[in-house]
Amino acid sequence: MANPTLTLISSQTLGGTTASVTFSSIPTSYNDLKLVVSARGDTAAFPVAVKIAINGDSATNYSYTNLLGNSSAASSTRASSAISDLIANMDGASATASTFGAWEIYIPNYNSTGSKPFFGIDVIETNDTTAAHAEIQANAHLYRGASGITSIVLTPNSSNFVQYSNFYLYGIKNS
Amino acid sequence: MATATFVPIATQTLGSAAASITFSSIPGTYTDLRLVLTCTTSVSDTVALQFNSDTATNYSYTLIQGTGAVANSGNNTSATSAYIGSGAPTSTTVPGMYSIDVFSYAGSTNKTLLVNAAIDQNGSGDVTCAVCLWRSTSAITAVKLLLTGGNNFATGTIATLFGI
Repeated sequence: MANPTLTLISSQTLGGTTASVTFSSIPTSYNDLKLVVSARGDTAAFPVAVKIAINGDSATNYSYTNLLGNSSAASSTRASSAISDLIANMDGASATASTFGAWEIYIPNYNSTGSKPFFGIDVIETNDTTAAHAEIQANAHLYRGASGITSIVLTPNSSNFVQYSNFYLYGIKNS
Repeated sequence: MATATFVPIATQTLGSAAASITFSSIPGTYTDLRLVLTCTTSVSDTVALQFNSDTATNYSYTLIQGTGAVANSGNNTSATSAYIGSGAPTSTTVPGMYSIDVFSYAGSTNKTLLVNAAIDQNGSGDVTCAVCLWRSTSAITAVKLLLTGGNNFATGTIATLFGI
């Protein structure tokens, strides 16, 4: 029988406000990565975008295409040759109290030395009648770095993650 | 001990270009399937999928897509394959990735699929989410990935089938 492979590499549950979350020394022993997050920011905005930096790379190796639905007409935007990737959105301090955004990011073939495409979906639901205070977003990401992924840093575009934000990184083998 | 899950059934890495990728003799011992594809193609084409060698008009799908400029939605009924994603990248260095969840694949009801496609090409490409239906009550024992225009998946394409 084949082996089960969805393995928790590392998790972090924040005990207080935190400026960034880092997964470092990611082992190369898997084929794919899966990142699952429940997070909220402490800046008075909605939504709050979160950036991802891979391997400490701040060169123009990131791009994404997104698809957004926030109770009005769906829309799509993209960024190219960016110095970091907006990986997802989350609730900010303007959102309903104690609500958190949820994301799932799947990164196949993360040890590749070529360009690495990956998919993410993030959702925010707040039971808030304010226009655009809830959303669902799908993202096609591309990281054009020439090394396998060994570290991931997640940073809110402004201010901090709040207490009780959760971050789980899983490794997946294909054999 | 918790039950093992997310088990790799098989993986294929193309050593040369191929028109299709097939997983056969899929055991019926899991609840769901997940198929992950990372690919490039020689010519931009649409990635599709067929089950159990069924080429009849038993497939349908509804999709929402973001092109980086606009969002759009479409559907197709009585198709001969399930839609996985448009515009498989033709760059030899920038692949696209697709994940396909197949729910209750071994059951005796029609089969529903959830598809996510990430085809960002640093200035072009798209993101697509789709729901597909295969109108068959047969258990799925074989999955074939193909390009509807008859083109080839390029060398280095990787497809992995997981049981969940």
